[in-house]
Amino acid sequence: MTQSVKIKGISKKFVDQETGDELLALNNINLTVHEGEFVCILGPSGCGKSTLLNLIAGFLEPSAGEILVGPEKVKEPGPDRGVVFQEYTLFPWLTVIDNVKFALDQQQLTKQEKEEISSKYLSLVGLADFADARPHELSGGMKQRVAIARVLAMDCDILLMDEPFGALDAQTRQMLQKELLEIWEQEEKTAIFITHNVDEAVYLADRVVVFSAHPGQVRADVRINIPRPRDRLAKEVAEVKRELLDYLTIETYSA
Amino acid sequence: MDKSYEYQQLEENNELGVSNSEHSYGQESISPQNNLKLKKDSAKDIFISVLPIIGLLVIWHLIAISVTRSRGVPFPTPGQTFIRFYELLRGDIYLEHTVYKHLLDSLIRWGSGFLLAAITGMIVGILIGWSKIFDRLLMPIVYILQPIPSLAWIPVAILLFGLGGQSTLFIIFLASLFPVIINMAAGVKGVNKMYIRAARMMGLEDRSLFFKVLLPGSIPHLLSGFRVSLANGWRALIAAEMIAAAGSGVGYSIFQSRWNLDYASAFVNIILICIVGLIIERLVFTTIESQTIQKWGMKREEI
Repeated sequence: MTQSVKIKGISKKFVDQETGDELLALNNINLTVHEGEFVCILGPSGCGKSTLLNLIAGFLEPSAGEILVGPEKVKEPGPDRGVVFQEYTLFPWLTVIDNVKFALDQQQLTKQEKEEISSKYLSLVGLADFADARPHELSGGMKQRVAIARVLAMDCDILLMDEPFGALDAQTRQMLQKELLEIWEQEEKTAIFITHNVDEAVYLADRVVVFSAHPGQVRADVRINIPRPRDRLAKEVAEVKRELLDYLTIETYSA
Repeated sequence: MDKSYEYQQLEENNELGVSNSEHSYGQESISPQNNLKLKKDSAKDIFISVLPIIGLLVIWHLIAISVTRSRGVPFPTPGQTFIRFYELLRGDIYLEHTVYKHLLDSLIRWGSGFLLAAITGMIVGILIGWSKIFDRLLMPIVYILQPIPSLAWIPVAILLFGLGGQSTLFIIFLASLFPVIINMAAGVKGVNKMYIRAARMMGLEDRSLFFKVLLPGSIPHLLSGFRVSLANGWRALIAAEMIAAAGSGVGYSIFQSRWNLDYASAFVNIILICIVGLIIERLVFTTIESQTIQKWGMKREEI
């Protein structure tokens, strides 16, 4: 089942434990991501976009405000929100298939069900042949595919992705973007995707939320109505890019 | 850009307070050329690797001859030592036991001391790594006791257990304990913070987080702890047997030779010590590592 995400008046302060200095990372963020929507959060480094994702995931606690996933307030991390990290964070001591199965071990499933589900999602990301490999034997793109298979296997409601393709080369990144969209359309999940890459945001998102930095806040909320699959070089795509770039450029100059 | 760095720093400080441990994921690749070269040079290779041993034997022989001449004491030559080695391996009795019994007794003392230390050290190390309170309570004790050489514990051992096997065990235990505690704690603290987040995201509770993430994640550290611990224990064993001995053992054999002047037997026992050390290091540890951290790509670069 997919869920919506409601971010209500979220602020996040970090306190330097040595100097006692306070740093306002996010200032009064209000944002609703609807069920089944694909939203990219776009902004420069340090605009707090990853902090927002960590708050939704429950890794951090907000200084003010609250986040609702469906009707429930976020209190701690949980399998309803699958996170794909920029660092691959697969467990090196487990095989690829066991990494996918790891999430299922916490659920009430029979051994056979776990086997079937993990095989299914590993095939979905095209890595069935690598089931018994170790993560360190895979390329970055393959590792990230396993990480995606892992969160899909645990049947999360929300997909949270923190610059998942940031460390990949351009070709691999484009390929994974395409695959991610296909999977997202098939699985019908709400997706929140953090990126600083305008091309990526325009290619993927139903909506792009542009963040500005110091403190992080929402600068613009741009809906993209171009049908998928999108031609990266089409004129309408370029127009949206320009619009987004303008928001980001203002940001850079004023910073 | 500077600010973003600060954010990250702050975020890390706010979190569990565990630092990322850097593991090398690089894999050595053997190119076809290298392979070919290895084969061609293998004869030369073997020669070079036995050269130090030959050199050692030659130096030993020269020292033995000149000391025997100049000081008039029976310093055993390599030849005499190997003859004695053969006699002992044949089953000759030395100090009331065969060499096998001496060696076995030493190995059992070493093994039990290490086992006790490994279990205690892991539990204490886990507590220190897992909880800030235990860290602050126990770590100072570790730091105070850790620099004490294991032999300095002998009076304590004798006061506690008297002369004999238990004292030896106590010394070995103490010598092996601290490396395990320190490495286990560092291992648990050093587990990549992102692994913990990933596990929490997948719904792991404290208990399974511990067994499924923290414990396997700290194995690279733990293995280096075991390595140091076993070596310390072995050294302490030899020394402890000399002083608080129970009438058998490799160290006991070496020390007693000063009474019966059977120095060749002492040298045989020294060689046995080397062989046991090499077997543990080369066979046991290399096998364990290739089955675990090397297979996982978590082997740390040697410093």
